[in-house]
Amino acid sequence: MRLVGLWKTYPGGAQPAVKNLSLPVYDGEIVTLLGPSGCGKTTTLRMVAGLEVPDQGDIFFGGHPIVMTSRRFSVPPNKRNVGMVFQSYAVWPHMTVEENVAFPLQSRKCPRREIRERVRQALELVGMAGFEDRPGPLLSGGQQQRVALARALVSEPRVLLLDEPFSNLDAKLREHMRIELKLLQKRLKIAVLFVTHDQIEALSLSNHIALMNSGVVQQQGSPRLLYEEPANEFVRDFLGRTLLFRGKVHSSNPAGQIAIALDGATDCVVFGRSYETDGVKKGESVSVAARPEDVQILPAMGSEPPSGMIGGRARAALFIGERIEYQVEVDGQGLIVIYGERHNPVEEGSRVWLKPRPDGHSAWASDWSHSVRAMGAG
Amino acid sequence: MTELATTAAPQWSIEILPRKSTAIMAIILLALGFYLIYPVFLILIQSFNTAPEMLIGTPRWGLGNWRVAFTEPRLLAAVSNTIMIWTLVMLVSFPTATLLAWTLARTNIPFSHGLEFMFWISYMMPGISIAIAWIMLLDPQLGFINLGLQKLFPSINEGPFNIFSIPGIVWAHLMANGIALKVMLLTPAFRNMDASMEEAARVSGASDLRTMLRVTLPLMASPMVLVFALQLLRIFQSFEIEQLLGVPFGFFVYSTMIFNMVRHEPPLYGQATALASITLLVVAFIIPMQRWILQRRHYTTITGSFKPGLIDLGKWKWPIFGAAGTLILVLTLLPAVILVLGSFMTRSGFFNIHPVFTLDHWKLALTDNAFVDALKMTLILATTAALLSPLVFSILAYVMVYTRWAGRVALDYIIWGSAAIPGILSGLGLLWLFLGDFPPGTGFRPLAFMYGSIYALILVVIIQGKTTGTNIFKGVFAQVGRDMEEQARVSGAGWLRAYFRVWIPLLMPTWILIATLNFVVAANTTSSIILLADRSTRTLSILALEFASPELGMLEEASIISIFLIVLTSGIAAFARAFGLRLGVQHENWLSRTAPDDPARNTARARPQVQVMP
Repeated sequence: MRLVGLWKTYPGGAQPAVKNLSLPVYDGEIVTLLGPSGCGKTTTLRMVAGLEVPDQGDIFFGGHPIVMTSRRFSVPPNKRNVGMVFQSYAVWPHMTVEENVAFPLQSRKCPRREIRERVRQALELVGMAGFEDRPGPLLSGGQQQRVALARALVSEPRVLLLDEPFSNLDAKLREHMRIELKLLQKRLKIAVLFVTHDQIEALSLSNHIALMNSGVVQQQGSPRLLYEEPANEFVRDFLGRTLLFRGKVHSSNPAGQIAIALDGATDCVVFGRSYETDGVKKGESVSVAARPEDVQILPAMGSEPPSGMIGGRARAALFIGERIEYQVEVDGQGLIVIYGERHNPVEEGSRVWLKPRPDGHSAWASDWSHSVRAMGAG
Repeated sequence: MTELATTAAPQWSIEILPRKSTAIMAIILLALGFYLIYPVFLILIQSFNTAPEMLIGTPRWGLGNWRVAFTEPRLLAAVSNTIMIWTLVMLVSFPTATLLAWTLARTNIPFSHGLEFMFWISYMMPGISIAIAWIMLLDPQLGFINLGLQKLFPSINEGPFNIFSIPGIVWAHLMANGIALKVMLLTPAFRNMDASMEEAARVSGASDLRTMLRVTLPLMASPMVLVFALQLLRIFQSFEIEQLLGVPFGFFVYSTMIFNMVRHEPPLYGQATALASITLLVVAFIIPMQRWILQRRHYTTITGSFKPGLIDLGKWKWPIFGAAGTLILVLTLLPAVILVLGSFMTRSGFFNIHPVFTLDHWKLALTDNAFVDALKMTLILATTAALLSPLVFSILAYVMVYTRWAGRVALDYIIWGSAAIPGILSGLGLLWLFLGDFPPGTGFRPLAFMYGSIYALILVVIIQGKTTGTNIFKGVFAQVGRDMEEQARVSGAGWLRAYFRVWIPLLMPTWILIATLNFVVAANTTSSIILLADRSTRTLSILALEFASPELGMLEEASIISIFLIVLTSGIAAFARAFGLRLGVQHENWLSRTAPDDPARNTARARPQVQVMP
């Protein structure tokens, strides 16, 4: 499936909900549209389903056009053969589980004998065999979701569309269903287009993520690519947490590696890359974005931090279970939140050494104040 | 899968090709405009026609009718009388109904749901039946209550009560549905109020009284304002009570005035249209005012899942129940019993003639062709309205809530605005439409066959319920959410299949509710059809109005018809209620489960969900 140059503006909407979106979805892949509320991801999904028609752009299913706005042509949703799970599940309350799942087959004029068998298979697939006669409203949230999934899969669609399917489940069930979905998708080798605002969900499930903001895809690629090589600050700050240090570009090599000396440290040079288009120049002030797990916090030994480390004072320590979060007043930097291991706590108020990983960071030429705001908001 | 894609010929969808939707919308707007708005313009235009034979002669334009309207004190008095009666009724009924609704919803009064149910029954009882029953009770000479009082206190020889008076008319309104409707609308709203608001006040140290004054009342203000706004539309709607009780002592409101001018020999069409136009001017002020009230944002008072803690009435529990119970019996059982009693009396109110009781009236009525025809006509009208209204209104509501077709706003305005057009005026306008030439000036009368025909009445009784019908459906559509339908579409169902397999079953309770309401409205209505019906198309309510009029004075026959009407309306309503139907003022639950990043769905819901009564 391919989405090419999609634009969509709602009547009365000042800004386009989706701007020039292009995205490939390959068979057997889970592609995630990730982004904050109102970023256009649901609109995109609805355009694929046929519930919205793009103002501009084309959608192809395996080489066949489904929408071609240039030729003013759009296949209505009931002829697209997609499966969709709504955020609310939309399990029809006036039908039983079996009737719900049978509906897509009945609509497509499937022979009656075949329907029974396929409904049984679909329910078995999602672990809901035996619930055939249960009315829709008498199901728990997780069960409703399974029924919705069975209904989406029963007609063997070419693509499965999931609109925040886990957001109405409690945390434990959510994790469970995530794993089940991944296993199911591997078994069926079906293409899945998945919409979520939850980065954990996106990172753990997807083969490919398109991170959207204000209707524009900010970056697309594998989860690892987006996490480690963010194309811009939005991507960097949306995925995971970021610690920002100030520094000066010390040198750079032709391979793109940049050495940066952190401000406030006597001898702490880290290596990273710039993924921004403009890059950074020698001698320039830059921000170094490090992931929390890439910075270690150690009790201070001696008066000066050793080479490769930077000094600071732990102002406050918050124990949050899996880790401890320290508010550290970093020398020459300001307050930065550093994650520490639960087993090697540092005392509140004491001097500490911070030890960043020597390489693998990202460098940002943009101004410091902006980065601080972005981080504060994240 | 690939085979599907190749066989799927390019399909034009509605959104890409706006012409189809524009055409459908144009047809809807033209049809509604033709039957709802155009007749009103005809009234306005004809008010400047001073030709004596308005319908057939060549028009003579002038201000003569308006001069009469503004100089003839009776005409202006009719308008001010209308407003006076409405104000008096509101002054008594609003506080009473609020107190009753609060008691039913927020205290531990026994059988509160039973009482609420009885108010629903009371609302459904036809105004005309109530008026006839109270004539039998409070006629100054023959009213049962007056007779009883005269017997108790021999010094009295007339009255003391007189139903043919302004207090009498107000009383009849209160007994008909002045109180019942408001209780019916407010009780569910009060019941759904979030009890945690009150509990928070109590926990904060407020006494019961302080809680009520500072928290409960302000929160309840919003449904009360809504009900008030709905009542504004009803200022000019009342007709039959004033016709029965006011005309005999020369008291006219604008609707009875218009009716009597049209029925005058020769008809005073000119003055009638001028009076109608004045009324329309007043209505034109009311519509924006009502919309303004309704569109202001109100507090959300619904939580749904919360069971409110009820206020303990203590030792007052049973006395208060007694008072409320007595009231509801006076509203419902008393008129019914009186009507039955009266229908068996040789002459209602005459206890000294022989025999006092007789079956003659019943024998006469059941063999009378006029009665049998009217019963048939009523059943046909009401059943047709019940069958067609939900279909028409659900589709209109669907268009307004879920499509982005051009002209939706105009549709909304037509439906809201025309709700304020009183029945007698729309009847008058349609009369012009049917009898006048169309297009104007051609002398061609393509719609003349509609006058006096059952099609005209069917048209009227269906469009009469439009505002209530579409608004209730709109609320339900928004509440259910479109996911259910979209899921069906994605699952391969076309629009029609989705509508019949998903929407209609989901809407079924609402469907039955609208069918019931429109059945009842069609059976009860007088003012909107009385100018359009002729002898062969009279309904029971119109027949009752004629029998009970002072000229005929056949109260006993009228009471038999009233009994049939009550059975048809309250009976059906009680039956429907047994299936769990209810109606009330509600607010949109702003925290609906709409995905916040879907502006398309948000716009459809950004309005309080109002349920309007006809």
